[in-house]
Amino acid sequence: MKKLTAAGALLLLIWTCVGANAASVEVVKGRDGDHVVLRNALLRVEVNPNDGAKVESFLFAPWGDKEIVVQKGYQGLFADHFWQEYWPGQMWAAKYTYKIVSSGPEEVAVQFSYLAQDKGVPQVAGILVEKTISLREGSKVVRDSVRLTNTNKDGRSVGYWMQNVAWLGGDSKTDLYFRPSKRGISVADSEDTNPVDAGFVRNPQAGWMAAIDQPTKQGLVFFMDYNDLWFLYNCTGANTMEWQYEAVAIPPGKSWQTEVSLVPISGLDAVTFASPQVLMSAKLTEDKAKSQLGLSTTFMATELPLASLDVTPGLETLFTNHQEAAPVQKLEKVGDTPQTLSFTLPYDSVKREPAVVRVGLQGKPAAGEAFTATPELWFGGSMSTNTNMTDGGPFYVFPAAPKVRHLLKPDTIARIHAAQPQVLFLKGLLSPSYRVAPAVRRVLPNAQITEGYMYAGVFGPTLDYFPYDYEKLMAFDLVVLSDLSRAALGDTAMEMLGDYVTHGGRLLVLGGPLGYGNGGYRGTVLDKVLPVESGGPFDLQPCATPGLTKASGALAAVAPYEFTAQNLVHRATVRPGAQALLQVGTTPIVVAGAFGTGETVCVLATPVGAQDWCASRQWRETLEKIVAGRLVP
Amino acid sequence: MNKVTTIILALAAGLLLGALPSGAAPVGELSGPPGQTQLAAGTLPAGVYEATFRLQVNRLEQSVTPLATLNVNVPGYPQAALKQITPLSFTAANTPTDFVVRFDNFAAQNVDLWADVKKVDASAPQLTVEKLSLRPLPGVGLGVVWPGKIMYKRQEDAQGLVAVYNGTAQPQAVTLRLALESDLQRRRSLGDVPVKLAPGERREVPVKWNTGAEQWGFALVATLADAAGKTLDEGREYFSVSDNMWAVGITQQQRGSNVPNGPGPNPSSPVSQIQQAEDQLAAVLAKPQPPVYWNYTNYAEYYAWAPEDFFNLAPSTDHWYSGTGNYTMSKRHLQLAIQYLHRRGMRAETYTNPFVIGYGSEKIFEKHPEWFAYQADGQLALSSYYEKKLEIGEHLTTEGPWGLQLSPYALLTNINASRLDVIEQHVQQLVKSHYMFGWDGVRFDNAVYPAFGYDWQGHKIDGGSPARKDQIEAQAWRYLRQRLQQELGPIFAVGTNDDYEFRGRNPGAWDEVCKNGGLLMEEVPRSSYSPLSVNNRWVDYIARYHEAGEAVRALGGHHLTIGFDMKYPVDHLYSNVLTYVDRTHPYANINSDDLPLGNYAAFITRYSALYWDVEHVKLLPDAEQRVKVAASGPVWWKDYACVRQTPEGKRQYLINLVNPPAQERIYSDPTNKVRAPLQNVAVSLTLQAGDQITAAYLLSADPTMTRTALPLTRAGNAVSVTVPTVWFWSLVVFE
Repeated sequence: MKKLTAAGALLLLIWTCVGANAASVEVVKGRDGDHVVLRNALLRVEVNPNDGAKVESFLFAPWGDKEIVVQKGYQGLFADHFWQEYWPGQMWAAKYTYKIVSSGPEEVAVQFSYLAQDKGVPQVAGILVEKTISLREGSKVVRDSVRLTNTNKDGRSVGYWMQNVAWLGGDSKTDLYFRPSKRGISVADSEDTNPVDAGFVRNPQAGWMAAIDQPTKQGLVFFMDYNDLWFLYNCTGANTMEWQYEAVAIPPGKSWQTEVSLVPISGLDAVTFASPQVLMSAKLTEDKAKSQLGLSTTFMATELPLASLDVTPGLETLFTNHQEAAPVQKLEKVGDTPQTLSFTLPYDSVKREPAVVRVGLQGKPAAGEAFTATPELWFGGSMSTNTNMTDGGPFYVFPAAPKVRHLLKPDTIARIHAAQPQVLFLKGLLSPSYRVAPAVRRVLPNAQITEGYMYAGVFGPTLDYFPYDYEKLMAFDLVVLSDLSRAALGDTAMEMLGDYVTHGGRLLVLGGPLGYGNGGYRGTVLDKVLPVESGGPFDLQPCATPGLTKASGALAAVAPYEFTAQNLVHRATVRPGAQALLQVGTTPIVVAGAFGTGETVCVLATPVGAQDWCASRQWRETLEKIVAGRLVP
Repeated sequence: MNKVTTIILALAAGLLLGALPSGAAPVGELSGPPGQTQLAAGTLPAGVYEATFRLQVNRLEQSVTPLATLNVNVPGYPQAALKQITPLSFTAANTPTDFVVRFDNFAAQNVDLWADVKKVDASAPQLTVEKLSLRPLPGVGLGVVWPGKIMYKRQEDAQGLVAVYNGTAQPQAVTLRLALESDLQRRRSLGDVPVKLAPGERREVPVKWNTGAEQWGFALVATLADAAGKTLDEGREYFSVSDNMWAVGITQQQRGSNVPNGPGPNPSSPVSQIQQAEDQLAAVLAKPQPPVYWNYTNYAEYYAWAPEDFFNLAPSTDHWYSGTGNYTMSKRHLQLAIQYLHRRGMRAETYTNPFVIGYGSEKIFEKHPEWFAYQADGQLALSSYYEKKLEIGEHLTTEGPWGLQLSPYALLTNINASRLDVIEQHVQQLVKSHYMFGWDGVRFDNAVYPAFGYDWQGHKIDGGSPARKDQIEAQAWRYLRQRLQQELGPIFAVGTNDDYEFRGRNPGAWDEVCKNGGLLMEEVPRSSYSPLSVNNRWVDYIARYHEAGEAVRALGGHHLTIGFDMKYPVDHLYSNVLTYVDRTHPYANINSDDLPLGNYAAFITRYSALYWDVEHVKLLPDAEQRVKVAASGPVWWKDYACVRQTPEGKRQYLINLVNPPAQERIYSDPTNKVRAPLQNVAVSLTLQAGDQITAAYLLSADPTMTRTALPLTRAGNAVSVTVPTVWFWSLVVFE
């Protein structure tokens, strides 16, 4: 008894010494063994290492003792998955090891680890999952740093998926989910009354998701890295908040890392904008009699208080681009207590055009750098939702920052020679007209051709397949880029293709209305490994110097072919050191050049025009030589 | 002989097309046991029958929740006769009530009665089926009155039939009086036909006439009289006469609207499956057209059928995948379907787009890059594209492009709309397609040819000027319409889907669409069911579409709205009422076959001259000053008060009365409450100089088709009438 009293007194002393806001960590006995509890004055976060290292109790002081993880085992926060595995996957209930890496008082951090096994998906075996959950003194933000390390001797491509399951406000009803999409904020309802908006947001516009229980206005905001984000998802019937990351190729011994922040909030009924500095709820209402829109905005600080926040809304109609602005209004000392500003914007309630309302924000934190942001809101007018029913696309695509993906490169990049010739054919619009596949089959009858196709929807162009894994890419003997734009390829693929050529690969680049100058190649990382400098827009033009082709070097045996002014050719400049192996007058048609230990061949002539040179014997011979092997030493 | 004034009537007492099969046994009354909801009557001789459904409801309610549909089915024609039962169908609770459906069994065949009782919430009135029975018509009476076609052109030789039946045990000699009704109450006789009928005999009497010069809505009216001239029975059926299909256009989706085994959406089905449907349709066409199904749909659209909607509307192959839908399509199948429609007097219009969408246009691009539009960066403007789908879909394969359905379209790109030689390519495709399939018109989706982007030399197509853009788009549309009508005649109808909101960005082109009797379709109304829609409140919905409709009609065009994607029966009822009363045309989700009381498509078909004649029917400009309406509840009438100049030079005041929805919002009430019928609605009209009101009429489809004279009261400079009951929609005509 005395011992216990002494221990209690000691704990009280420690608590007093470190201060009420201090962060602390302790290991307690839970329902199935050790649980780890991280806490500060605002939060108590209990993690169960024996059940997927999920947060299975989450208490936030402003919510009182309201528990949001109600069904232990079935619910929890920060659950790990690979999306290659079907739910629940091996990590949902896995036993993790843990170690306390920081014990406070300024910050506590606990790392939980699990080595994935082959449980039907060999690709994920040997991936070490390490997540570090941390909490700072006096902060309401919980951070989860996830690291995936490839412990194998070969490269692996895996896709991480985080899932959070909780009943906000303590019950399953009346939770609304807010997701930034390129059509505007998508709202899903836990009671599934609006199935149109439920489920996936396949085109997220920013790296956050929020959920709020409507009666209590208690909610969670998650922030995640937008650069690697693939989909946002809510299984509304099960009260989940989850998202998937794009697959990442992890070379042996390398790690991919991402960080998630979880912010509990109280007092907002919606989240229409979220940043690390500020959260905003905004509502638009139309006053038809006055022909104006009312804008009600409510703000709170995300983590650190703001000294001031200037708010300047403006409106732009989408058909006639008519613009209106409201005078700036200022808030002082923005913290955890919501503050509201109201505005009016003139709006033609007769025309009722769809409009976008931009809310200009200029904030000054109490400590730290000033920031600006311009959240946008959709007002549909007579069009209601941001969906053009005639084609299903949005009237307005909400702009998103370009994604910057960081490649995990192996320490050594080198060609891998497979027993069977391997060709990667990345296909754009005019690909069949170039007749590449028949040439490959003639020259390399046993070659395996892997195809990736371009597609373009309302959210821009991309490829349906690219080997975002150096081991796969470096095994190709020839890569063909056929009429593909920079946007379709993306910066990651371009960088990998640059590495491919630099380290011994052979690249054939074909043209068309999406390639070279039109395709935006100039100045890209890909452009550097090309033997020509691409022109600018509208570079696909009638042949400027029509006449008979002149062949040289490796193509010297190709018979002359008459190009007319109706043949369209990309206008590009041959780089020093490169060889124009085929040209018409001064117009280069086929140019080859070495780069690093590899080679690139650029074909500047196209099948476009009254006369299809790709149907000619000369092109067939040219293509066969390109497929057969190097054209320049 | 003047065709316009002469009715060519070929009758014929001796020309009997459908005599009773010899030796057919007479049929007595058949009935099922209490509570049974289906009665299989077996093979019944041709004849006219009465199916009686004895039903009971446990309580009355002002609701249009469907409680049952009463069906008479025959092989190949489910719901050959149909009646909708709601709580409004009953006048007393817990009282057996008989619902009698007269049915003309046009051939000896199996007949099946079915009371399809709906599952309703426990809080709704509960319906029980007491008894089903079937008997031949007791006496001499009419079967179908069949005008032959649902829509005729002017000056067309028409042929219909009237079925007469003798349900007695004695031979009968009767006189069949035939007439056409049109306009408000114009009537012209088509002559009398003496008919002798053996006991149990059903006879089809052919009737022929020439449609003459008059347009709009007609009824073929048959009156059966005995030797003393006493009327024994009367029947009528409605049809339209118009050269411009949009002017009287109704397209719906229920029974009789579609071609049996016709082409349509399919998941890239195997060609063998399509050929099977072709053969089945060909077999239907090889037989005489039975006089069954007449739900007033008078044209049909084939959606997303072409391999590519701009450069390939006349495919060179027998089968192909459609570019927009990825359906497996067949040339013969489409040809047969349009033959079928034409035989019923329905017209066929092709869906197309003002841009390139589908398979094969990259080959056109390779030959004519100058025909296309480009982005500022010089790239071909591919708003939707999937190379894999493009390669798979250009040739019939076992794989088919359907599996890629959720991906973007194979290839969607814009043409350079400033070049009329490109528009001419589209015109030529439509002309070839007309001769290949028989289209009567074209309905564009996605507005007009867009003058977006840059030409292939990098010049802005519109020169950077919104006005120039509008001018280019209007010019392209004008060129299209003029060239099509030059090639195919003025009867070839042209329209597009271009919501009113878009008028703000291209007013010239939008107006051009509406001119010359063009069709302006609005698709956004589909989403008005959503609480997120600014038109979710009924008052906002009607205000928005009234304004748009008036804008279209002021330009001489015909306005069409697509019905709600999601709805309760009460929304379905009011989308019907409000579409027609506002002189708009229906499309898709607005069907009139299963409404609780009247069939509004029938009503509008008969009285289209009072609604859809955009040249002669105008809103009454000073309606609020001149018209007063007083009723037991709110009445919507101000947007629906019109004045019409008749061909005879008369003026008619058309005061439509609508009993408003009980709900404030669309798609908000699964219990489908409706207001009580308005009683004793007083309507008065202040006369203006020159007005000589001689008569007033009440026209309504509720609860059944009505045209009755109303007693006219004069007081000073005003005339007034009292309408005893307005269920949902009635029309008062001061003539």
